[in-house]
Amino acid sequence: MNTIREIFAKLSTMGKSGPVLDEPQRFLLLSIIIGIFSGLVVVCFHISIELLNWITIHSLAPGAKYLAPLWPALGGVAAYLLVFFVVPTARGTGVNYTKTAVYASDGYIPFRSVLGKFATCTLSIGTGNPMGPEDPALQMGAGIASLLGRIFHLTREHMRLIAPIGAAAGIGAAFNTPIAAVLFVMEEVMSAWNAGVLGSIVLSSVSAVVVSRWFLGDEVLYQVPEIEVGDYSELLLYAAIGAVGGWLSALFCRYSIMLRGRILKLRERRRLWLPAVAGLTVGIVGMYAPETLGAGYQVIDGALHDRFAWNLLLVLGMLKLLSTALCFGCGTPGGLFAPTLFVGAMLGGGLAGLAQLVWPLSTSSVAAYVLVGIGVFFAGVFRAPMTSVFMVFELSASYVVILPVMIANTIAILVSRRMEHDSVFHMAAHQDGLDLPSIEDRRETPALTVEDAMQRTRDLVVSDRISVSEALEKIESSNADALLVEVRYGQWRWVGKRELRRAKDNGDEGSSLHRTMKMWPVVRTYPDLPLDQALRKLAIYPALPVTSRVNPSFLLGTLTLADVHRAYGITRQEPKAEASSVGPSSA
Amino acid sequence: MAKRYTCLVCRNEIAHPNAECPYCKARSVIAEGASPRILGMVFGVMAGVFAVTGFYAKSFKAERSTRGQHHFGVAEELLAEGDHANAIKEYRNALSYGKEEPDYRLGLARALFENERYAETENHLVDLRSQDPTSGILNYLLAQLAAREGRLDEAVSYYGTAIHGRWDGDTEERRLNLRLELVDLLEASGRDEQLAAELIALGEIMPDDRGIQHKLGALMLRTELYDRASSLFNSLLEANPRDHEALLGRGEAEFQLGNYLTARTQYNRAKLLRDDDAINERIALCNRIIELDPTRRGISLRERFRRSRVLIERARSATLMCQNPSGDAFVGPLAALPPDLASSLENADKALAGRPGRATDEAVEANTLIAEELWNQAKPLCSASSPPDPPLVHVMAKLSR
Repeated sequence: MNTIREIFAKLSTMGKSGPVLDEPQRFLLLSIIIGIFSGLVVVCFHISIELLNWITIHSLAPGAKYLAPLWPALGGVAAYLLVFFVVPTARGTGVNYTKTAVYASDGYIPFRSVLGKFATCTLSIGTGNPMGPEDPALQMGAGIASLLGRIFHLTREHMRLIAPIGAAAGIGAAFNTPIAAVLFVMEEVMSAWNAGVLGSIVLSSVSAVVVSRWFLGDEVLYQVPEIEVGDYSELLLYAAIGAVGGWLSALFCRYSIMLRGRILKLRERRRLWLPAVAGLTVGIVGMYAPETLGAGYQVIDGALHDRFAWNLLLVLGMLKLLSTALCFGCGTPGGLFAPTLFVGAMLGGGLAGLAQLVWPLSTSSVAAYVLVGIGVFFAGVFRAPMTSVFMVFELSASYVVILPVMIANTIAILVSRRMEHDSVFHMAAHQDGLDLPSIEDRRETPALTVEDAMQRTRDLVVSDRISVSEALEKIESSNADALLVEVRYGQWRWVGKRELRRAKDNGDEGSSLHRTMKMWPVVRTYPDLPLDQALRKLAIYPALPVTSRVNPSFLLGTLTLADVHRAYGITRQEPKAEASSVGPSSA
Repeated sequence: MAKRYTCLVCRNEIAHPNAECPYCKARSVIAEGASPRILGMVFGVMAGVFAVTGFYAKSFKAERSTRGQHHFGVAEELLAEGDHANAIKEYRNALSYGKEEPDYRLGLARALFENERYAETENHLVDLRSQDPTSGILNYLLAQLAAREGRLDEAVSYYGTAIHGRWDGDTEERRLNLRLELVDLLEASGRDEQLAAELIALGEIMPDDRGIQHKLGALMLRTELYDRASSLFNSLLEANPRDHEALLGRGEAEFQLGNYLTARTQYNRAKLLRDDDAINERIALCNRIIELDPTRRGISLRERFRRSRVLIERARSATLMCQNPSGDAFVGPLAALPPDLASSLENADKALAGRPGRATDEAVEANTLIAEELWNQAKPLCSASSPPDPPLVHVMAKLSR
């Protein structure tokens, strides 16, 4: 609140005296501006896709339906040519592009890539290719943020954070789900929970969603009907959907990435015609199953309203899965977000229908299964568990289905992870030669804590009542440089080997430490603290007492630099004589 | 305004943009703070993009609306022609241009209903109803859907909301038609209590249609609303005294109300119009009741006294008949009967024993009471479907009233 007041106060005195805004305030203001700009661009993007869609596959002109199968091919090849000859920066997935900007290029995203994504994805999605606009919107948001960061001359540190802020705005505006957008950016783009930037991400996401709703209306992506969830025995069915969805999502990731890999091995000129082949295939499939064309939000809406028979749902899901994998592999511009939701919805609805044949006691509404399916497939492909749960919550605006979603999504992630270690974005990044971090990698590398390194002995601890000679004997036997001394309740000090020797030389060997020695205070540490925090303290103190958090005089152990080295697996080595032969020649 | 320059390495403020940082000696990484000019420029561009997006969105919405209306118009025509499958397709197209347009969704629901795709219909209707719970048409469609699927409680509830809900156009006629539909539903499902309540409500807004009035009169008889049935048939007879059905209806209503003379008159009039065995039977029953009834006005005290004794006698016979399940008269000792019944029979026997006394009002009343007491004891033993003495049953019912 104070920050906002300060901003207004400074804005009111703008230009009269002193600097307008300092860096954190500029950053917050910038987050809102990014949200607004991203929202505006995404609104235009959405409208452009729709307009092109009306002109091409949904044309009202007589005879237009005969041209419909050709449009995806034309759109795909036009978009690919644009990428190839004009805007190569619009290539690839938006998530990986943004992550690369965060981790490798100090948040720099050329504005040309924003324009490129806008044009190419409008061409491909607007002509019926089965891709989604969310991932491109994410990249556009990140690109706008990067441009504004440069205009505002942000520091390098803030420039790295600015791209995810824009990404959240882009995806929030495209999908109309501000919470899911924030979580997706945290889980998938930043691959970490960064409390420092969370406020800015939320601000930008909310601003973008407000702008989007301002222009496009409050209408939600899907009209979710009233949901009924049956009794707890049906959780088994949801778990089964989770398992099937996880398995299918892993297969989708594996084979679409495999296809992409094979195509990437072709010469670039040869790849030019592949989006046309993919588009033509999509168009032909679309003649018989027009539901598979485009992003498919309306079809998901239909599935939620029990429009299709269960077998038709499964067929549509499979067709969409194959056509998406083909387009993704062939490099047709567009994102995987919408097709993933489509396949998940069809899978959930289809399996629900099948289950009701096998298990007539099933009483949940089809909408509940469709929503669970959406969450399951999303979780399996993107490995973003929090996003997948909150997205369903935001879509349905109901907590009723949350329990089944949580169970099914967890199972989907476990199954999918067992089959394919990485998410589809991570696999694509590897294929492109990028080594980007993922939240799963970070989870698999647990941070060491003080408890992992500390010595659970009292070898370095003495009372301040013992004599200097006893202390010297103890320090020499333990081969340490300092001893820890508890002087009062919870107050620790340290004394060095050199000081003890000096006291002995001065003839004070018989007197007690508290009378003779000057001892320096030392801070306590706790067993649950990350080891790197303790390491920073060890730069100042030779040893640290590890105490209980509730009783500071209760010593649990001690920690020295050598202990930290040991915990990290670093063994101290003497420099070798032949070491000089390594490195630049002395000659 | 003073510009601010920051070293990007150590983040200390420095005086000049191209000077060396006095703290970390960095030169090439110096940033200029956000100046009002930059902010103004950014806001200016934002306003421009806002305007362009606004124009773009407005054109888009206009086109979307035109397309939606086009498909909706086609769908309405197809639905009117009975081409439900294509109407559904067109409604879906319309809906893809205006998801939030309730008319499109309602049209789709109607077409789906006609096409017997009830599950999807219900989803759309429930969606719409959550946005507009008092809509008459939505509740009506949901009521029809629930009735068709046998969910009668839901159907009745939806009908109730639809009757009191919001309608466009000729509201009163719609409400009346809905009530009539609800009455049909309640009649078919045998929910007589709810039916009676609905008939009472309908009595307040009785339609002019004579056919409907006949039907409602019959339903009133069925639900034992005899007063209302009688006055309804009476009003029909005022308009057309030769209405055979109304005569029979009024006769039946009066008969059930215990007005056997009026009932007989109505039956006789009906017989003049069309003679049949059922009417003759009814007239004969009326005659027997009238001849037995000691409370009938216009008869002498003596005759009343005689009838009251006959009443005791017939009540006694009927009691003994009912006591024996085989239908033969009871011939065993009275001690074998329940004590109350035995005592009532004993009273009856005493009243009938010896020569009849003097005919007085008190004697008539005492006899009637004895007969009533005996009949009340015997009634539970007698079969309701085939009572041993129908005129006696009716007279006793009248007396108890």
